[in-house]
Amino acid sequence: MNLNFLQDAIANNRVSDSLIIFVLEKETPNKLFLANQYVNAIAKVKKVPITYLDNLETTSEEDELFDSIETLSYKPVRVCRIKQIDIKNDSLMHEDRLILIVDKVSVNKELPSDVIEFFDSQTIKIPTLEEWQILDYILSKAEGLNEDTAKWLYNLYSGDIFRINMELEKLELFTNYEQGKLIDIFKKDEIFEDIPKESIFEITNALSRRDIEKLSLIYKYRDVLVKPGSEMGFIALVYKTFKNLILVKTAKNPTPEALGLTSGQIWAIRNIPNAYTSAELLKIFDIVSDLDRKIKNGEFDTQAVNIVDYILIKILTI
Amino acid sequence: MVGQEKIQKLIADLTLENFPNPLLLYGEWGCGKSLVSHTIANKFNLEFKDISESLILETLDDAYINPTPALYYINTEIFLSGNKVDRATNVILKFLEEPPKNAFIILSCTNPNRLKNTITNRCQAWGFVPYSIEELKKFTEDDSLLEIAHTPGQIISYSEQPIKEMIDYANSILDKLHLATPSNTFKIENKLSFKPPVEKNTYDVSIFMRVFVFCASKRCVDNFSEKSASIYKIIQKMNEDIQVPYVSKDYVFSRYLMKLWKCTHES
Repeated sequence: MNLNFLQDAIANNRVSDSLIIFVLEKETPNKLFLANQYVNAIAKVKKVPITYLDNLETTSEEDELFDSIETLSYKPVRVCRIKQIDIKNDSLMHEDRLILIVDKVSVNKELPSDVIEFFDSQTIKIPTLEEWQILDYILSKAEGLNEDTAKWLYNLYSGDIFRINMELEKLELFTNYEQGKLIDIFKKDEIFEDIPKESIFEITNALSRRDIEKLSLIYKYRDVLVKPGSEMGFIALVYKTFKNLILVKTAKNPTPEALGLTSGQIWAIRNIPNAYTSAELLKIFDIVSDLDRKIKNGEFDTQAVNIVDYILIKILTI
Repeated sequence: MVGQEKIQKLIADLTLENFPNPLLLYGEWGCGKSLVSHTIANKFNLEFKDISESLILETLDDAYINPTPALYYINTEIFLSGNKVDRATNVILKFLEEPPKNAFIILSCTNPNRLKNTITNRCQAWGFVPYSIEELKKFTEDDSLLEIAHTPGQIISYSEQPIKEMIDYANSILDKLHLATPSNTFKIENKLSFKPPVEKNTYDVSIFMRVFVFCASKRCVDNFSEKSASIYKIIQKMNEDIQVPYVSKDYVFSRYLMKLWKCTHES
């Protein structure tokens, strides 16, 4: 099967419930993004939620312990990301609504021909997104922009569709007319270029990955990114980051419904390498969640101690 | 007024000549401080003016030019929980140092230690004693309500709350926490409202914390163990920290949830 066929099936609501295998060959952010878009589209057209599986042996379990909820009366689309899969038998043929995202797939040639044919037909190679496709995507998400502006945005983020998508989501709040105006203002005031790569989110993202190298680069911007008076906002962001990490990394079955996060957020968090053990995550959470009380109680003097320095040191030396 | 015989006697013996100006009433919320203030105002036909929300110098100016005798009531809890403590304190001090001619001043608080000494030293204090169960039974027969509420005002306020449901939920948490993942445990927050107004199908966290403390202490009493004592201490501290003025209650709550989780998972 190729991607056009699947696209057509989604558009006409004819996506079967059979297994689908997305093959990336080489994982790149753009390929993962594209695969994720199709997963979301399939779940949307079937009107079911998405469940992310740690491995193929994981089964769905009820996640509600303290309160009763109605059992799902419909099967979710289950997604499993694994590096490589070697298909040695036909067991996967009978899986419904399962999407595998793999780098490499191999099918045992000694299997019956109909089995081999099935797996061939359900395997889709995810192509690298071309520049024109990303430009098309930009223009479809933000109709108020023109081609020049779309191209400018593409170049600004070097075709990184995750970054581009983040900016486009901000523009979605505005009408087409306003979008065009805003981009012109941002370009004129060099707002995007001022903080094109570094933003307050970069600090928290780098912290969540324990990326010392990245933090060293961003550190020089700390007084710009966390201005005096906005310390509580920074604490809130770090608090949320590590709470979400704990939520996703310790959940048996991290679904949007169970965790109150979007599937994109869950996906992004799951792809963060495990830079901290569960015990470390809980320690960090304890430190950060108590900071709010300490500052408001007067136990912590934000005039005497830089909050960014304090948090970075506490977390990185955990 | 039910109970509080000492205060009732003090009111009976009160005259305009021996009025302790200013008067400080202190006791747990709902114990009757506002009721006593109104009673005193009615006894002497004084205009009752609650200036708790408008503690600014302009309010005092009005008091100085007002020829009619009036009772000025200040509920200090309103500004002690906010970020205008210093300004409000200075206004009160000015009011107390130079009281207007026809003004009778009553301050109220839950704990006089939270007020500056310069204020409390100027006041005569009347403290409300804890209500007995027999006294509280005059307001309700609901046993679960009597466990949680300690004053008539609290009974009236909590009687509109689903206390039984909260008790069931609190017990469910204490029963099942040892089975939960941290991710599961965070979901407990979804049942609570941390800021007014209280959302539909959720519980007010301040009231829920009282219930939680009660349930934990009951377990400790009924079946004492090191673990039940540790759990009770954590919940007790959780309740204290949540009362810290203008703290983010959800942060405090989630922090202690993780402590509880850790405690229940330690061998």
